[in-house]
Amino acid sequence: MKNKMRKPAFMLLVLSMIVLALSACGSNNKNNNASSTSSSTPSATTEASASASTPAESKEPAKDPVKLKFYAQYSGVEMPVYDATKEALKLVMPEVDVEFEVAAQDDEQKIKTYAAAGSLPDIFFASSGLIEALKKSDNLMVMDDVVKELNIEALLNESSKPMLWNKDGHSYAVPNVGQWAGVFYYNKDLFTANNIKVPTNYTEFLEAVKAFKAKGIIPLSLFGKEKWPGVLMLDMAIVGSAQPEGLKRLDNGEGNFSEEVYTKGANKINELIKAGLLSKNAFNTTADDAAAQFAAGKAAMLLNGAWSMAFQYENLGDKLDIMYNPLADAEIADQVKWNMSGGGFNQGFAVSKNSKNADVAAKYAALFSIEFAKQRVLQLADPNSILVEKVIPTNGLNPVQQKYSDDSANFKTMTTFAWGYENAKFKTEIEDITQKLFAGQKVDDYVSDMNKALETARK
Amino acid sequence: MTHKAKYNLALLIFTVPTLLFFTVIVIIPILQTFQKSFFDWDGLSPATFIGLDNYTRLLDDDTFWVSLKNGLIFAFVLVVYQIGIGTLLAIALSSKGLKAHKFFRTSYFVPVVLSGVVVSQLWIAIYNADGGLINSVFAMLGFNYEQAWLSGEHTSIWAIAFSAAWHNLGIQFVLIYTAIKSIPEHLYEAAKIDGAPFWKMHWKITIPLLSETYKFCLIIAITGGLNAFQNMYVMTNGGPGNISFTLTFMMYKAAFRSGEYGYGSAAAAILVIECLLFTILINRFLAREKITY
Repeated sequence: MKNKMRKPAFMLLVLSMIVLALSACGSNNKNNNASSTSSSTPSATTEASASASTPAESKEPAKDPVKLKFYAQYSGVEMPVYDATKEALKLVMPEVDVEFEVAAQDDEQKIKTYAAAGSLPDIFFASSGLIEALKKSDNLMVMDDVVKELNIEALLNESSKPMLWNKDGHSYAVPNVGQWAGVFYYNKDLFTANNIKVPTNYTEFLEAVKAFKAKGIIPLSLFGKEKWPGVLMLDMAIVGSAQPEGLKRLDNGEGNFSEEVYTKGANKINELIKAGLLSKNAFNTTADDAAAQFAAGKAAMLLNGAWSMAFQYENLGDKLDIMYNPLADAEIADQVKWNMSGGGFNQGFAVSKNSKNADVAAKYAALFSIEFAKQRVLQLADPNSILVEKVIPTNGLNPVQQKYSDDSANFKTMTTFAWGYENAKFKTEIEDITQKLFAGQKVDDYVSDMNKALETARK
Repeated sequence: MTHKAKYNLALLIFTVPTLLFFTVIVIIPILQTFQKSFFDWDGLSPATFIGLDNYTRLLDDDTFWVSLKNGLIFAFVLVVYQIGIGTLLAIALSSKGLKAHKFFRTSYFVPVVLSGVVVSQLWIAIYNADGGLINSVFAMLGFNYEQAWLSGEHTSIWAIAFSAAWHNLGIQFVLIYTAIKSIPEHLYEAAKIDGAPFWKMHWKITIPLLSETYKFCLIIAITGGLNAFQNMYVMTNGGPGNISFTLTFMMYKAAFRSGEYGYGSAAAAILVIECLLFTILINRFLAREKITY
């Protein structure tokens, strides 16, 4: 009997010691947090945002630790940006610990499923389309108060301020990255070696396409397995015909494809396809395939967002240059020169309305967005910072990034990339149907299909 | 407790858990799909009842008809290739004269154990319009028949279906081969004594006696074809446009890309009905009598 009692008693003793030790560690941790707060020096951005309207955190008593779930693109080149931002935020909100969950590349299905199941992460990256869906289903926290309290708007430069506000006048996500334009990358050496003029308007672009095709060089490397690059190119063709809102106007519920400017855009694409713009395998070409094709000198041009400048420069070096919109009508090319396609949508880090720590999460998300934007410039040499603060990239800008950075001050208007469309039905249809246009569909059929799709999308 | 009561109790104990599981995993979601197909629902906000609107919209949607046609083409290719070639290979391997049975048996089954994504990538390379295997062979032979196999309006779905048929040929082959092996030897011996040639012997004995196996093979080939999704998702993403859509892909697009769960559910409901219809027809007209040896 004695032996039988000895074992449970011993176990009880050991468990009590573990519990005591853990609770001691816990309190020690709190003390550590408190001490680190008092001795910390927040980074310039976070300090600015915190001091803009809130008392210095270091003077406040230690707060209860909060753990937040953060759903974001925590992968690839952005991983160190997230890590550095998290570290910087520890100085301002030491009580907060975030656990990143890598966002799935799944048309936002996972995050929508979380919303449907009532288990949205505390903070998540939200695109314009997701903002609209979650706003409608009352899952999104309105961040107006925290944006005003932290004086976030004062930290953003003029061109980025509109990104903070939704069309209904509220803020649902604090922007974390600047507006990228869509650009044509081109291989200068291929143009020079083949004595082909770098196009500045649609007429010259068509001539260049024909010339490259005749020489057995793929004129444009388009990664058509993804559907948005085709939409971007069509948008450029439309913007180049003096419709600065491009396809975004249709997404907003105005106009239809029968209007001359849209039909003209579709006609340009049709004509270019007939002239041999793409390789036969364009619709099975991934972004990596297209970049490899371009880097190997098999293709003269590549269409992508300006975010790809560092990567393309790494591949091509000084042979690389960019064009903004060579699809502009010749007679108005100068007039529409700074009307850009791409960018232009309200997105960033948003907060779940149902988060147990919604207020803390909102403050953290807002500060995180600003610091994230800064770290992107520092680490990834983003040439289009959203911040007022002048941030210098750690490794400087390459010549192409420098050109973009200088030119971006002239940008007059921006449309949006396909994922920025707010009407999900319109987005899906224009992506699918435009791919058919690139596969050689007749313009009349395309216009008719798109008008029908618009009608359905607007119901 | 009587013997019959004990028997019924045992029956209940063994079947109820599976039936419950099946009901929760399969029956209830199917019923929910039918229910949601009468609603306008984005998956997040409250649903609005709209009656048969989703179904009338389907009938007016070109993508629906393309998807329906593609599903049937896909099923046709699976049936012809997997059951047709599967039967020929199974008959050939069940013949006594052939050496290296084990090697061939294993070889035919190898693609089945590969992941669908790997197989799709393999076929993407084969179909590549710029220097893929097929186009290179045509070029080598001097034929001017190079194609964008996966982007062509008339080639895309056939090309994808063929890759899927190749991938899972091994399953049908094993089913048919096993069934052939279970046919009593004396039937063939009697036919040989009567002087029946090799192919006639199989035409008159093997094929008729495989009818029950064929019933099962047909059901999995046809429903597999109608349900196809993975291959086109990896190989073409349904495109260009909608040319390689099936009803499953259409459902995916509506529900997960456009946020129209009600419309997607209507497409799914049609798919369920289509699969059930084929299953009923096959059961109704094929192998109605049980074969015993």
